[in-house]
Amino acid sequence: MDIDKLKGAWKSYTDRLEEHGSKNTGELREILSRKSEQSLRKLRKNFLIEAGINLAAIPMVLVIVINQFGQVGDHRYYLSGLLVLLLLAFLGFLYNSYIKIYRYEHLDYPLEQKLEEQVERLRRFMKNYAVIGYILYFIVYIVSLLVSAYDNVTGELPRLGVGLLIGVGLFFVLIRPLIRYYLKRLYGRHLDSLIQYLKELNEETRVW
Amino acid sequence: MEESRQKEEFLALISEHQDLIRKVAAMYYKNQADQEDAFQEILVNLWKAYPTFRGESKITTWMYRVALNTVISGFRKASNRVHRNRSDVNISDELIKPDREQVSSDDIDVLYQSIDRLTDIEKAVIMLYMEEKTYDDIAEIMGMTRTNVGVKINRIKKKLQKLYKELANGY
Repeated sequence: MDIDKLKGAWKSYTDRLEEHGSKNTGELREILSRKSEQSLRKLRKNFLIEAGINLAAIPMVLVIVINQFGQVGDHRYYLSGLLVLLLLAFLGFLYNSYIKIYRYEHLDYPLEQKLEEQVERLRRFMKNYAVIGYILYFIVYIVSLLVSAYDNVTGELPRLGVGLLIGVGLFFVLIRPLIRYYLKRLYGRHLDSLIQYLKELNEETRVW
Repeated sequence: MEESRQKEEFLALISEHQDLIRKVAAMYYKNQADQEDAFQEILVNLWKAYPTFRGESKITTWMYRVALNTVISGFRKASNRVHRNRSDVNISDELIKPDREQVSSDDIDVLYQSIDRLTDIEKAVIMLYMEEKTYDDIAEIMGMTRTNVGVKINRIKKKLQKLYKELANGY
């Protein structure tokens, strides 16, 4: 069968699509206003789902720091405030990245350029997300360690050293793989397919 | 006021070329509801990108870019991309009326199944080819060189022929 005959078949098929699905300007206008609002709602929903863990962590941080860190006196309030600020900054980063990823710009770029941009943006987001997660973990861990030795930091140095080593071990064994797994599960497949498309577009023009 | 005028201008333009959006949606989505969803998403993205359209390229070239960017590089549920098969909508009957004497219904059916086995990039290239776009236009839409477009089209044709033979023989 001649593949070029497909052109005729494709034309018949698409003519029929046009006959059945053609919309007037009123319908197009209605779709435009409804769908724009819907995409914003979707963005907010996706953000809230992912940010949920962080939002839930805020009251927990407050309760834990204020109740458990009594030995640091009033400093516990500053400490809890600092941790909440860090979480809020993380949420800000998350929201900003979501806007960039979901309501992406440069829609009129040629496909290859657009894919390059999307891959770069998603990679950067995943990297920043992971790094921020690691930093937050170490801040919380080190602060907790220091608070536990608040009255006698110099005397507790050996114990703090061991604690730090355990924290580093925990980071490599649990925290880092967990964050990586989480990000890969959420965005990995999409990123892989974008990279694959890009590779396909950039293939050498050698003949089989 | 300016936005309202721009919107009316945009809607008139889309109204004239909406078949293009529908074709892209039909190439990537089998189910009618998914096609409609893709149509709407492409429409919104065209509107978002409209202020950047300066008439440097043809309106259809610009529309294909935005439409393909939406379906290929955007976040959409992979599960929506269901492949067509013989038991699905009888595309062949809709397809071939004018070409019935040249191409049999089964041939077209198998050919469409072959297209469904192409990658998303290959689908985009073959669709633009079927739409009689020039190699220069395809290169501009896809961001490839003209030579690469020619090589790709030849490869896709060979791949389609191979897939076609396999499917026709019942593999």
